[in-house]
Amino acid sequence: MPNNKFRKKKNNVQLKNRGGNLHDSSKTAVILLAPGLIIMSFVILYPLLRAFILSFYNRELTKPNQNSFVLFENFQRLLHDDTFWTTVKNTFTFTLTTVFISVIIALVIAIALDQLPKKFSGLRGLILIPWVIPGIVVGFLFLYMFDYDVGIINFFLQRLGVIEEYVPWLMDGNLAMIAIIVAHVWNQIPFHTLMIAAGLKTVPRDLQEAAFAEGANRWQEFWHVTLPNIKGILVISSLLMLIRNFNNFPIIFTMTGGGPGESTLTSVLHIYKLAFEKFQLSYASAVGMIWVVVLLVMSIVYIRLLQKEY
Amino acid sequence: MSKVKSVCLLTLLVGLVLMLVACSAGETSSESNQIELEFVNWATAEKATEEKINKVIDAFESENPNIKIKPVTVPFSEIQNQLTVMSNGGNAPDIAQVDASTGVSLAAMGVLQPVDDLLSQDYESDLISSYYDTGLYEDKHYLVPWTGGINGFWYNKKIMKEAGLDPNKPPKTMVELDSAMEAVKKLPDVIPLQFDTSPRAFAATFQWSFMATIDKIPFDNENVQVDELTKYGEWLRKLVEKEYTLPGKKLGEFRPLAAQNRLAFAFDAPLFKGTVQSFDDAITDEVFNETWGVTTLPAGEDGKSYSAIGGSDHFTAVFEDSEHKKEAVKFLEFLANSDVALEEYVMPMGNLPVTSSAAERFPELKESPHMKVFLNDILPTAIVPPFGADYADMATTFATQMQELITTKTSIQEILDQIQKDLDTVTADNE
Repeated sequence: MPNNKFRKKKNNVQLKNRGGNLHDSSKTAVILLAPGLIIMSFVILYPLLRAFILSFYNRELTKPNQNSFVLFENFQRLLHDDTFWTTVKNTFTFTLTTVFISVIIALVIAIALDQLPKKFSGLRGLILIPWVIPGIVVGFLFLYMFDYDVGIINFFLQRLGVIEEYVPWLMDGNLAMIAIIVAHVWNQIPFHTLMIAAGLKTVPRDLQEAAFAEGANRWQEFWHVTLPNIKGILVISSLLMLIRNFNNFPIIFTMTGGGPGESTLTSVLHIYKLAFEKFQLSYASAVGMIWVVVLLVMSIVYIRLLQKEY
Repeated sequence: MSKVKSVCLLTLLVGLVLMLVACSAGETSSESNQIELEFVNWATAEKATEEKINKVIDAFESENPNIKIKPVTVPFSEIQNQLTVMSNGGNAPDIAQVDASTGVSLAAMGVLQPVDDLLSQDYESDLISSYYDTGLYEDKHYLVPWTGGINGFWYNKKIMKEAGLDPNKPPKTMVELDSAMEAVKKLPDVIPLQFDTSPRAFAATFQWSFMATIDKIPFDNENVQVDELTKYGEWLRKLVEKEYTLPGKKLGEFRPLAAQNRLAFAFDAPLFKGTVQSFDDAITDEVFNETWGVTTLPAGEDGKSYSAIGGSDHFTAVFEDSEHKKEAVKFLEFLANSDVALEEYVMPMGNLPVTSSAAERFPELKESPHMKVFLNDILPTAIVPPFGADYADMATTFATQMQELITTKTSIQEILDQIQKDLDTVTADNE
């Protein structure tokens, strides 16, 4: 009995201490996190909140006296704005195509790199080059490559007999979209390659060997063993790049500025033009809010997928 | 011993700190009388102008030792959004170089200071009124003219000769221009005409002269008449279909072609000469004058031609938040009208001066074959687009949608009607 009593008391003290420690440590955590959180909320939440409020006004920079509350007028206008719907179509076309093509090519490259002997491991570093080049530089590189008059693409295609006459890549709606997708694919392949290459390292070798031992060919082994094991990486890297491409600005801005006409005008470029070329701050905020919702949904999906076990 | 060492070290450290404090205090007191003016501009961003403008700034600083100019370099294509962000974010510079559209937009935002009461009487009365009035917004002048850049029609005499045209008879009408472009197009690697069809407000200002000459202006402060621009629309579509120009290019992107002798006709400012020469040292004044001539834009059906101010003319502006407005204006007058500025920057770059007295002080201006034409023939054809609170919005919409006209087969009238509808929405918002 006394032993039990003693044990009980001891447990209580331990619990108390643990509770006290927990309380103390969470307090410390709050104190340590506070400065960062305050700065983050000021830098991220304040502009977001300001844009949200602005979207209910009719503020235009060149009309400082005009600043009345218009409730949902900007959102109603948006529903009937042809340009907005064009940018929705362009953004989805550009984003989905870019990510899909990048992932496929990256998958091939990553598998090829995985098969290479160790002495070629330096190639992984080389393949990163397009990824580390700033977007604005990539934009200018491809602007000149696709140039009608002096571009190397036209030069080579003509020499190879693919085209008879030079093609105005950046001045044809469909071709301009292809050109900006090519530039982005080139820029983003390294990211996917790196992610997939890391994923391939986690595929159990014994499973692969067992598949071959069972008589599977290379394709069957890839489809039934490798692919299921890197599925998580593929989903996460694709979603990450989907989110990034929704916000992609410098390459498109440099190469086409959204043109010709509105054929490569994506959401982020549209918002920029509305705010800084047409000075329609409130309407730009309303359009921005719609995209915030879209991206928020995608981010939630991304976080859920990160937590999921594959 | 170690104690002595520590005391010595401590004394040395304290002495050093005191000395530094004293020095910095001395600097502060000597610098406290000096005013620093932040000058946002693209002149220092471009190779062709950087060295020249720095010489002018140095000259101003030695004449005014209490004023220091701090140039902030921003490329031309970024000037509008950078100044919009800076001034609306409470971080406006003292002064900035602007084009007319950006300048008047900033005036409409309420971030610029009217200069009517700041400019010296001598300078104000000396200014050529068509330049000065371009910066007029709600009856106040907000822009200080710096360099005159009205566009003239440049023709490459060597290419014309090669194409079997008389190099001394540039096209006088739009019909003649079309025939000349057809002849020139037969030459390999030659682009017949420099024409800005980029999706930006500047392109609309550039096209303004062609619209006024061929058809009519697309809008003014009261009316939008884009749906009546069929004649211009047809001409523009033909220009691209027949490959007489490079679609989607900005005005400046044609200038290297001019330096390579691959451009037959250009509609550009007097600075075309200086810029072309900056690409190749071999293009001396003599070579340039032998190659290029300049005249008014070929006339339309009514026999008249126009040239819109505001495209390549450069202005400066003083910001409302500047604490040194008087000093700022002093510098701006110096930039535009001092002998140093005219000799080192305005004239060598091939710009037109913006004051009447400049031509009297520098008679060589009137002797220069190109300047003579600009001053006597082209300047009188000047028209001013309706710069104002909505101009940037309307001009950007117009230029963007005119790209549809040159890149699709959609009916011209359908495109013009769509632009009309969009611009009507902008003007309706004001009612």
